Amino acid sequence: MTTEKKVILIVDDEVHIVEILKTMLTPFVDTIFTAHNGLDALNLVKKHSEIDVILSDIKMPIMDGMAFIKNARECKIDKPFIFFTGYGSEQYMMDALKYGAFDFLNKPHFESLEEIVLKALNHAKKTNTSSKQDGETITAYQKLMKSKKTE
Amino acid sequence: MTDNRKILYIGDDDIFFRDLKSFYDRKCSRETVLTKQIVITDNPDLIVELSKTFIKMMPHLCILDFSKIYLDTKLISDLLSHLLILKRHHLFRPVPIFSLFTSLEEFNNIKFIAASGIIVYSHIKGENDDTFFNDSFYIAYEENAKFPKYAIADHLALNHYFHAPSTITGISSDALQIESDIEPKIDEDIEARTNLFPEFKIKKFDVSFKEESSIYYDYLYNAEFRIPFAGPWDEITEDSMQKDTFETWIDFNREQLKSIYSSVLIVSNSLEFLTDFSQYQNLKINFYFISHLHSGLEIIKILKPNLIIFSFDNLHDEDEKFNIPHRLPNSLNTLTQIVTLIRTFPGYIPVIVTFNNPSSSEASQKVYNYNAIISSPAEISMSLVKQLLENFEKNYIEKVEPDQTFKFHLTDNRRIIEVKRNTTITSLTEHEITFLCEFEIPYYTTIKFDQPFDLYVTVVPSTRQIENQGSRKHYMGFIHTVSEIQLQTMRQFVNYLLFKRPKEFLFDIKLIDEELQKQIKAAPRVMTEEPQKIEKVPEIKREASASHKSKL
Repeated sequence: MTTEKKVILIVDDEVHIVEILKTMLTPFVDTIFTAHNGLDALNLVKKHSEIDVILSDIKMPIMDGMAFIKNARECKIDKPFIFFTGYGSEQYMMDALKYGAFDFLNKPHFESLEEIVLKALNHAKKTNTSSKQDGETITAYQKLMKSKKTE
Repeated sequence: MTDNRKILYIGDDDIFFRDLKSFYDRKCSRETVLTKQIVITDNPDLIVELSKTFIKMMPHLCILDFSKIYLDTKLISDLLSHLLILKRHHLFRPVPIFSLFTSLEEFNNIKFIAASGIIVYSHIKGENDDTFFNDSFYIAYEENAKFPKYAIADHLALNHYFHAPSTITGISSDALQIESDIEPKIDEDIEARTNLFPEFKIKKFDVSFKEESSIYYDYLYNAEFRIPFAGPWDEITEDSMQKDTFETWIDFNREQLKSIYSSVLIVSNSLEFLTDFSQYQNLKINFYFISHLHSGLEIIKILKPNLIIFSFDNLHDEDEKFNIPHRLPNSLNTLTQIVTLIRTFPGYIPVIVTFNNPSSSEASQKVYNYNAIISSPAEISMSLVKQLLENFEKNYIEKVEPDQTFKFHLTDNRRIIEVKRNTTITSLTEHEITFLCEFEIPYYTTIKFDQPFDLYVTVVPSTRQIENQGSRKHYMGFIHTVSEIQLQTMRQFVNYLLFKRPKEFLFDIKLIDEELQKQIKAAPRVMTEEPQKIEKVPEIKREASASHKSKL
């Protein structure tokens, strides 16, 4: 991983969730932006191109998480999105796949938060050429097949 | 009406090709006509050239001339295999493929092509090439090709039967997996004749399974025919046998039959794969390519591929707008259906590699709750797929033995099975036959009558008005694969039916008395040499197939 600054955006209409996440993430990111709805988040991410990773809730007022990622992709913002999931969000998760979701975090327990965010930051910092993508696909495939074989 | 015509001829007969071009230049003088020839002999890049031409040209019809190659079963096998793969892409499914020979002996030498589902009509080149040009034009475009008026024996009501050339795709110890264009009914006692081995005389089978899709050949249905073996205390008759006889035959022929290796399924709308399959041919794995899965996911149920490569179409297109009949879009919802199906098979956990997937592997795994999904945002590429396949073959190939199902090679005549159906013949000319059936026959199905010889017929939208009778549907078929000598016999048969009005659809020259023979010889073959003065019949367009089940 490079020594560039790690910048994330946390989007949730529940203020206490945002505060919890800020506390959990502060030790290993440099800057944290926050927003409480998708529209404000979209404006932030357009203004601050240094944002590397976006953590977003799905159900929010004014603009929900799905509309947020859809609009972001239309503006050619290809940052990794990590969505918070909870009960009843299966259809939203499926919709999120259409626009390129990086991962999902179970709200409010946020298991694997650090691992997933660091992975996303790493992904955001990489320059992804098509040959690198192919290489990653082969590596992931070999790893998966190996684990099947040992099973 | 299309404003251009595209005809692909694969063969070495320059004179025939010249005549083919002349026909279209005359017939379609105000249109753009593109005719292309791919030479077969001394063409090491034949398969690649065929695939690339198909993709670039998108022909309306394809003519395969076997005249110079009918003894080269390896080349024929390669050609048919590639065409079968091309035809699995939805863009090429409607392209009719015709075959040409210079003699009936050539055709009989490679009869297995008639049981592949892919050849819609075969022609013996000679004096009747115009008939072929007209018929193939009609089949490709469903436009009236101004057929000559033939002497017709009509107002017949002759009960008879036909057989539909079909194929055995798998043999197990108690059943035959078959593919056919004739729809069998579950629990039906279906009659069929086989070519397996002399002791296999069973003619009636019990249909235990049927799906509207085919896996290996270009047919509409696949089904399972259970073999009703004689019990240990049953008397063995001329059309029965005991199970151990059959099992012994399987054991004896095991080396020649192909056992099924691990399968890889590639689902992609991309045409890139279709350009060169030779790079995959040397791999031991059984790979299967299709542009879009059938709506029942039969391929996965039957093949149970260990690796599924699935390339998404545009994920923002709505599934409701997808308009290929009986197929599923390459979408997230379809992947949901695939994973749901996989879960119904205990212990079956194939790896699914998805392409054009903007989301990560982890995200996909969580949404589908299935850990064996890998995602790539890239478009599917041949080079990457080849790496996956080679890696798969090197490290993870497994022989699938438990279900003990064996396949014949494409060129093995023993895979031919002919499904029998009863019919009532209503008219006959030397060119077409009309008949009534209780059941539906899709257009462009090939069937075979046995009078006055093996009479191959392709069912087409009728060129004249014929009415259904009650529950029985009325069909017309073009007669083909007829030699010059057989054509004379056809004319005699037509005149025999016309003058004698027999009660049976049976031709035996010995039954015809001298007086009638004189009448038959005197009767003109063709009522008039003038082409029919019927203008293009508006209701007979390619759209005829839209209101009736069709292979194309």
